[in-house]
Amino acid sequence: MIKPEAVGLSLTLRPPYRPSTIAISRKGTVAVAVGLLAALGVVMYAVKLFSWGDRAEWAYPAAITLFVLSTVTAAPLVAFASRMARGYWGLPARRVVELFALPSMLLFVLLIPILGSLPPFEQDGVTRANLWFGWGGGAPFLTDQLAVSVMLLAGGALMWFAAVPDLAGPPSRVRAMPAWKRLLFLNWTGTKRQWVVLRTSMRWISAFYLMMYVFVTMILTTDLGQSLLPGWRSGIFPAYHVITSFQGAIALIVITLFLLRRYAPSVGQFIGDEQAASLGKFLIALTLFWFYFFWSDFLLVWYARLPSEVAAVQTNVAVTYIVPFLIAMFGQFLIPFVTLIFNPIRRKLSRLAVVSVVVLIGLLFDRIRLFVASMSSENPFSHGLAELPEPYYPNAIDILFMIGVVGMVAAIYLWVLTRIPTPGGWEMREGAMYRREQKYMHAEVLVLGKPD
Amino acid sequence: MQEPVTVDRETANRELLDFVFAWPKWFFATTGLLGAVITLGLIIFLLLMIFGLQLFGYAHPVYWGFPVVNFVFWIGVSHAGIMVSAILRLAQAEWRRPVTRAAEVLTIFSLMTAMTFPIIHSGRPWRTLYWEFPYDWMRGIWPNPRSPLVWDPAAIFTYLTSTVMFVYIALLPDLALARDRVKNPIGKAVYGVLSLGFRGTTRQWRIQAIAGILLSALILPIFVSVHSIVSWDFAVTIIPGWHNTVFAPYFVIGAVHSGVSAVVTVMIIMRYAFGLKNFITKDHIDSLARLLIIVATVWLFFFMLDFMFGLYGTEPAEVDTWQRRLMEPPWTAIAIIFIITGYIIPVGAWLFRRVRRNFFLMFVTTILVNIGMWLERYMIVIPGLERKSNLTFQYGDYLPSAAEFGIIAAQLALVIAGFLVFSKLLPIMPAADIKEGQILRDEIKVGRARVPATMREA
Repeated sequence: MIKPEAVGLSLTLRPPYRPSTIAISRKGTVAVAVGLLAALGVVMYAVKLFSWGDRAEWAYPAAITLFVLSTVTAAPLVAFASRMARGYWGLPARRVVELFALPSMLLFVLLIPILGSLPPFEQDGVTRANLWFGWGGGAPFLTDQLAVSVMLLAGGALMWFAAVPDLAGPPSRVRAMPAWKRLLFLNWTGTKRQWVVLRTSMRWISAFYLMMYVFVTMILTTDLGQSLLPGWRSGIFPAYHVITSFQGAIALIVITLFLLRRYAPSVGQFIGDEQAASLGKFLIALTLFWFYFFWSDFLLVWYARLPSEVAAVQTNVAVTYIVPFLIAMFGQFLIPFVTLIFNPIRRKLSRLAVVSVVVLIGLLFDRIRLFVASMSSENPFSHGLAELPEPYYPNAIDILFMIGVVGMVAAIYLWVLTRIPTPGGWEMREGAMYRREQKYMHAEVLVLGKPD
Repeated sequence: MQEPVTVDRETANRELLDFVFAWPKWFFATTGLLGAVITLGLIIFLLLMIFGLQLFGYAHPVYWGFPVVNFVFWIGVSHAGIMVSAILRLAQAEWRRPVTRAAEVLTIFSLMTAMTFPIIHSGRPWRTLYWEFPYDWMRGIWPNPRSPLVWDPAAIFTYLTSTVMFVYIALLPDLALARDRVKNPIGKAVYGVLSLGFRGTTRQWRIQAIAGILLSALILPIFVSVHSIVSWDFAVTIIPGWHNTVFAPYFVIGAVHSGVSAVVTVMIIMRYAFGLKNFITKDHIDSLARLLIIVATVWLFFFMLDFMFGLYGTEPAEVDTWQRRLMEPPWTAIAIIFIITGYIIPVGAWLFRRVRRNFFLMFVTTILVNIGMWLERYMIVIPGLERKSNLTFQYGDYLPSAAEFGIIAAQLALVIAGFLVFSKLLPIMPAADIKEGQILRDEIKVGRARVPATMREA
């Protein structure tokens, strides 16, 4: 049983909640720290550009880029899932997660030099394995960037559309805007027709974003992963990547909600253990999925004993990158599974946040073992690894680059958090209308309306 | 739910148990017809024992034919029960209530039917026993416990046992209801024993609810493992077209697609045959169709992964198999029918609310799904085995015989007959669950509108 917290009766909003941007305690310190980290990221990106075309040099940047794809870019999908399932727990979190669409835009910039360093599909008459089957339409650089751009635009549109009713203000204000701005605000006056159109378009854009996300994951994980490591051929790998991305996204959301509750009381009052209980369930389910997908992949290679496949698995699991793999296994599966079984951990936001940090660390090492192995492989044109490669260790620039990328994501997120009202006002009010607390015989019950 | 059940509790009790106590004429006619088809299957099985596997269309190198395809298909259908019952229960989906029992019963009978196929597949089953028992330890040959063929029976028996327990726990209050209403003393005694003395005390309800939730959670890994292991029967080999790491989730989601579609088909038949119009409404079918859109699309994604990563390595044997599957007759026609019936027509139709709420169209589209899914299994199993011989450069050939079609018909009849007999003896609608749903149903007034609502523990 999840008791609403003393202050955070998440949705029983009396007096009616008015949307506003958030105030962060110790704002100055946070801004300076995050700004410095972001600046470090920009500098390191510029420094790395001198290694343009050197694939191995971009191995760790590729790993952190796919980590961003797996966490930040996947996060808005939770808003979609919560709306689809009409999950009340998700109401205060929806805007919080949708705002991750803006820092996701970094993907586009990060991918330019990484995709630019990839070898051609054909060299000296030898073709390397790829998903484009010899199609010469600019793959992988143009095709991947095009797909990423479309996905990011869909995410941005979703974030903006969901925010417009809160940002637009009264109809008189919108009518007084210049034409371009009115267009930007979708000419929002809150008519019944506009609401219908808004909801329908949000539903379709969300579904499109999900499909694009899956597609982008499939092509990026192949172009930056499987097609560069000879002998690695795994149909389940894109699905594994999607599943672990959802796991990473949930972990990121838990941590974000925890920090907001701690440092942004205006949002924190709506975030309680009700959110933790639901996110905790998802997290443990996805943790089990990690094992299922990993095992389905590993078992077949182990069983079939094809030398080329075995060598690939020895590279990124059993021998060369065994340390990152073990960290990933503990972080993504063993520790969360053992801890999240217990209700007191799963249902308490602060405890869940600690587990989520472990999950994110595991995820980062997972991406390192998978993509550093591929990006640093010597000859992607051979049919199998003749001998196992040595691990490719990061240098100081790689480490600073990765820290900097996290800083840039945090900086952009904090910026947008202070610009767009959080949590989403219209959905919170609507949620409050559809929710009632009452007594039924001796029990306290919630009555949850589910409009069609 | 937008169309709440409006009958009072007494009418609900009567209507939900009506079929258990009544003997409609069509029941005898249908049972007779099904019995005839099953008898035909038994005759074929008898002939199989006399003449052996020559009765089937096997030809070198294809020795896995219809029986294996059907085995995979019926295991797939059996995934309906847990998907609908356990997952939706854990997700607290209110619309699941009238659907659960039928789905679980379908699971039991399709599992039982699936288990007959390995026996049929062996041709003369007693020979298997002859070679196995007593086991000749002196040969120094041991069963390979690392083989998925050994894991299969373990997983399937565990799944069957847990599903039976799951159904039985949920049945207890309904058995007690039947015990209290049946007039026949023998029936009263039987239901009395089966209901384990359930009187509806608070403690009994609590234990029953906890057992249900625990079983829901515990059965999920078994649910996933069953079809995964079936998929590994194929995937751990290095046969082209089979050796793909995506097989396990691809098989599981395909099974859910097939199983939930079968549940919709069964629900629609039940609605008319058992007079359950008050309990199986358009909303239930609509919700199942929405679920199916998602499941089918995920399934299509995995199919695409299987296809693309089959071609990805550009290994000649793998490409050759896919070319045969998609580009050569009769496989081209089968592939087109499979994709059109398995995805394009049904999902295209389900996008429209009007179709989702039309019983006839839902009946047709869900049957199409299962035709498509059967063909999918056929496409997976056979072309991989018909691969080109390394020495003669010739493809193998397999043409199913009439006997194999007869077996299919008999097995289908067996599942339907099992379901029908169960419905005759035990309540096929979870009366207690439905009534609980009625109690928890509420309304919230928003302006002038009344929004359907559900009570939940705070």
